[in-house]
Amino acid sequence: MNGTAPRNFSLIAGAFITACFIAIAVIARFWTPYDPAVLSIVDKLRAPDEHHWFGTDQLGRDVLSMIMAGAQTSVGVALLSVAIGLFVGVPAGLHAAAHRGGIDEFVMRGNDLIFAFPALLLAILITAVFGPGAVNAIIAIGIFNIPVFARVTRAGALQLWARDYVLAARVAGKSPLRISYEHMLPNLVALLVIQGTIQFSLGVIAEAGLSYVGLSAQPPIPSWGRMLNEAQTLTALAPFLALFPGFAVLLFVLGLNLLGEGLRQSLSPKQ
Amino acid sequence: MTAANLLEIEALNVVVGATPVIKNLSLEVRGGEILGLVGASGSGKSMTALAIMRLLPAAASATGAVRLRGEALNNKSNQEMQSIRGRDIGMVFQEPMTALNPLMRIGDQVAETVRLHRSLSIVEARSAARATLDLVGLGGEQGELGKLPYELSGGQRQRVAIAMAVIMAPPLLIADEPTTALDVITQAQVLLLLRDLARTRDMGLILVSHDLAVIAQLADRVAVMQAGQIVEQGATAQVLHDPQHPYTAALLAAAKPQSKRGVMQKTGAAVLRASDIVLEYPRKRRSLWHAAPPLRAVDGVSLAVHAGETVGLVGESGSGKSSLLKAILALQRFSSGEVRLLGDEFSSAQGTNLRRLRRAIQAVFQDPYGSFDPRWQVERLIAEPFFLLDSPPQAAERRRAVAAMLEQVGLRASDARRFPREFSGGERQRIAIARALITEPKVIAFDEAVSALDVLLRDQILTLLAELKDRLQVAYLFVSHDLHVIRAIADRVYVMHRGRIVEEGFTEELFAAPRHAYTSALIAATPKIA
Repeated sequence: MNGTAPRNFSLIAGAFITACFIAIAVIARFWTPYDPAVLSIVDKLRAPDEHHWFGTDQLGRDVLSMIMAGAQTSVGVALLSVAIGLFVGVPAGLHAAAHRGGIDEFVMRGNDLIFAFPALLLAILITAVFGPGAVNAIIAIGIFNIPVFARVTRAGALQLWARDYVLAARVAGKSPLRISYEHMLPNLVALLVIQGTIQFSLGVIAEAGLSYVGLSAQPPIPSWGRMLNEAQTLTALAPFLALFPGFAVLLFVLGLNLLGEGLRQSLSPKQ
Repeated sequence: MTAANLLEIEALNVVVGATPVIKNLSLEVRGGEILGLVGASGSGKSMTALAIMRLLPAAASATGAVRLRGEALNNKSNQEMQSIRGRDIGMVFQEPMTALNPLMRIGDQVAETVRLHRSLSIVEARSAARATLDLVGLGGEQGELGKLPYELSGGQRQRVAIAMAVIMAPPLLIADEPTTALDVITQAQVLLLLRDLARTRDMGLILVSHDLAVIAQLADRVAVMQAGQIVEQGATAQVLHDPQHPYTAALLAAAKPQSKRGVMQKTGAAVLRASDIVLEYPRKRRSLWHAAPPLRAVDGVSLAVHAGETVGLVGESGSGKSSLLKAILALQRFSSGEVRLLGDEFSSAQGTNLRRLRRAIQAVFQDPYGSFDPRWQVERLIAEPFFLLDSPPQAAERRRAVAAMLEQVGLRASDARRFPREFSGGERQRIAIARALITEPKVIAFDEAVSALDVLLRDQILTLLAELKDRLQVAYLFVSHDLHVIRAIADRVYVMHRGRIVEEGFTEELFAAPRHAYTSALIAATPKIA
């Protein structure tokens, strides 16, 4: 009985914070207090007040509106990169576990190759070829999600392959591929949801990092990483410019990690 | 016998949540006495053992008195209990693999137990460990002490666990199903070891088991448990020969081999014939230049199952029975030989021919918990082999077929909507049998299908199988390490040892006059009720 209170706390707090940020991202699609792209030099570098709750930046843009619109970039990039990881990594992991041998070797060594490749270098390479933009950040982060999901899926599936119900399915004449999608995948959902939440939070950090060095969403699309970058030279003059996007990243990632931990505890079969 | 009891349990009650699991249980054990605690799974045997050790799960709470040498254990502090466990009461569990630390050499593990209770130097503790391991028959050689648990067989691991339990020379040892995970020959050796330890050290021993035959081998006194209560208690010979309670009589009947065979039918043509099967597993390469010779798990085995016949395949763990069965079911490639089903080559069949043959052979596996996808309802589980039919029945027709099959195996049609976790072990094996029967196969292979069940459930399932065979004209290939089971159900028996068939024959003839030394050893080691 004592164990349930803190577990529920992680889950509830994490879900609440995550839901708030996703709601903000959705709202920003339709409405922000000010247009985050409109410059107003007369209003530049205002400290937070009742008109501009989070103040304004060096070009007079409303920081609250930029944070809201930045949430949209952040959520969008992280979510789509998790989707890339799931759609490529999960089938790769299932096939590796189902066939073992050559296919397994090929998939796992491919994973090692991606893991060994510096993430930033890949992002720069993609940018060099296609030019900078949010889509490239999605692809770069997504590629690094693939081996993570492939490994988690393979490890989970290998355990399930040792179960007697898999033998029963084979006696019923089902192919390894069919068993993978009928028996493995549904039993791996919990594992993948947990890993997806963790990769989501890493994606938020990675997006902030890439946009900080100018490799993600380009102006005028706001992003938290670029806001931090631009605030860097003004820290002495207007410290709030760095604080708000910094806290946004911190709070969102904390929320996602709490959610991941809460899910892990409530979904893990041992409980 | 001295009047003073070593252990006294008085009016012990244990509740988990609001459900009572042990009701008003009283029990005594004297020094040097072996008490057998017997009952079906879920009767509260293990809970009693845990209650003595004060190791009950957090959700359970106990009332009543447990006294060791007159001293009440109930009001000891947790710290005092910790030093009592191991020093005054030793315990051996069922699963020897999980009871040992996989990363610690066995000599060190045993030595550690000593050092927990007495301040000894490492050298002194090691020599104590060596002496105890020697005592349990694990040779005092240096080599054995330095081994890691995975390098030992199940029986050897159980010996290590026993060494850890007795090294402090506790006056009381509790052994909870200590031989259930072992094959018969090893079981006989471990039981003998436990008896010798109890006798030579004047140690009280509580032997917990579901198998009355195991208890009968060893115990001076027997206590029979049912639904949390002791329903009968007395000297072993008296309880076995003149059971007072109907439950004891039922246990006794289930523990004795009773034939479930019907009238021996005229054997028809061979529905399944395996010839010269050789199955090898690659071994890990030890040298860069030479591949290690493969491990030959099945070494030129031939067997046949005729229509309507029950064939038993018996052998200890590691004899290659399961590998052979997988080869026969075309689940595992093998190096040479062939499997013919209904006269056609099965192992290399393809496409529609393979599907046609697969319909004719189905299987039931050992683990009633692992045999079902936990996310599927019973109807979908039982209907899974319909995949093999060219036009599988749909919707209402499928539901009717599943309902009919559920009733065949003694379940209710309404069970189709439930999930496997809602069923007990015995019911789950019924579901597995229903799944195997749904395509109307000619042969069903059973891989240790009743080994995980207690004697009463085992008896029920064997009776059901005998009925189904008469009704549905199906042949069984029954793989088991348990001679009671084989003797009760098989018409013909193959004995497998180290990958080869060493003897075959009609069941009664083979049991009456075994020709091979290994068969005689197996029969001799099987616990019997005199």
